[in-house]
Amino acid sequence: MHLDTVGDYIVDARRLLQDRVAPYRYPDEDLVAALNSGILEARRLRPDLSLNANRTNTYPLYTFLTPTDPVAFDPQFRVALVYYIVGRCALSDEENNEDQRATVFMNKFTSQLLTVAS
Amino acid sequence: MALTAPFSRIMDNLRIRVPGALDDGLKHELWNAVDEFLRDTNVWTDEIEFTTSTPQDIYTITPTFVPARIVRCMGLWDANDIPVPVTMDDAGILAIDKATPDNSTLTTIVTLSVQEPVDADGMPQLPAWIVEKYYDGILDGTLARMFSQPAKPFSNASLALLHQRRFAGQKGLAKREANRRGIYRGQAWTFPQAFRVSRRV
Repeated sequence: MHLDTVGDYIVDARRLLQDRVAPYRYPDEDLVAALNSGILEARRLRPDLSLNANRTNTYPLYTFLTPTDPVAFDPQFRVALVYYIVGRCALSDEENNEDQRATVFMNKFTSQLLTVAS
Repeated sequence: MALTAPFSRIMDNLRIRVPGALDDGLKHELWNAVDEFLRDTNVWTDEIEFTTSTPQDIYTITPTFVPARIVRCMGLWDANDIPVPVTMDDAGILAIDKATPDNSTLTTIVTLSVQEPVDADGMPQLPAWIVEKYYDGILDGTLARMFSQPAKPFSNASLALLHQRRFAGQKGLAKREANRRGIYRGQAWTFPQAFRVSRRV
């Protein structure tokens, strides 16, 4: 399935960031850190995304060192997670046009989790 | 006793009717709806026999269905079908209010509801006939609970209200049917057996 592993998220996020040629502007480490943050943000917005993890209060922590690790996330919202990674990376830029892009992606992440038409 | 209920069609319906919902979330509310349905309607009953031993007057009973939990006691009868006064303040613990002879067999009918663990598919375990017969009620109950959740893509107060009303109607129908033991226009009561004129054998 699309977006199964940590590596899949990195590749898809790089496509939207237009950062597919090494040396990269955004290191893998930053992308995976954004993935981990995105999962926590998703839990805040949609507690039903992680019912089992909520019981134990233990959430997955992925690392860029193991790109083949599967990411347990509902297929409906995997694309939203990519938008979060892109938005968060874009936030780290200082250029004005990136701020606007970051806001668009962060808002898209939120609206995809909370509304059907998004 | 193995309990396998046909939930796949209900899940298909739920996925279509609640866009943006997760399977885990649907199963969670499905469990809640089934539990409420069973607790409110008394449709799932279990007949449990046990033997008395004087001077004991407190007996712990367990359902023959596993997993299931006892909700309420519908009555206790001796071997001659004569009702025995009993109370059940704690589910599954019968306190007999009348001296009973040693080694006599008493029969109680209790109503049951679902209990964890869920099955391998994450579904509540209950007899298949309940899900088949009260399919609409269980579906409406789950939909009402899903639509009433706040801050979700599928949050919808008016639909929640609509399905809650339908669920309440289905529960009322099921409760009446259970009360009449599934007989159309059946008698909903029995004459108090303590006042009967002849003893049944």
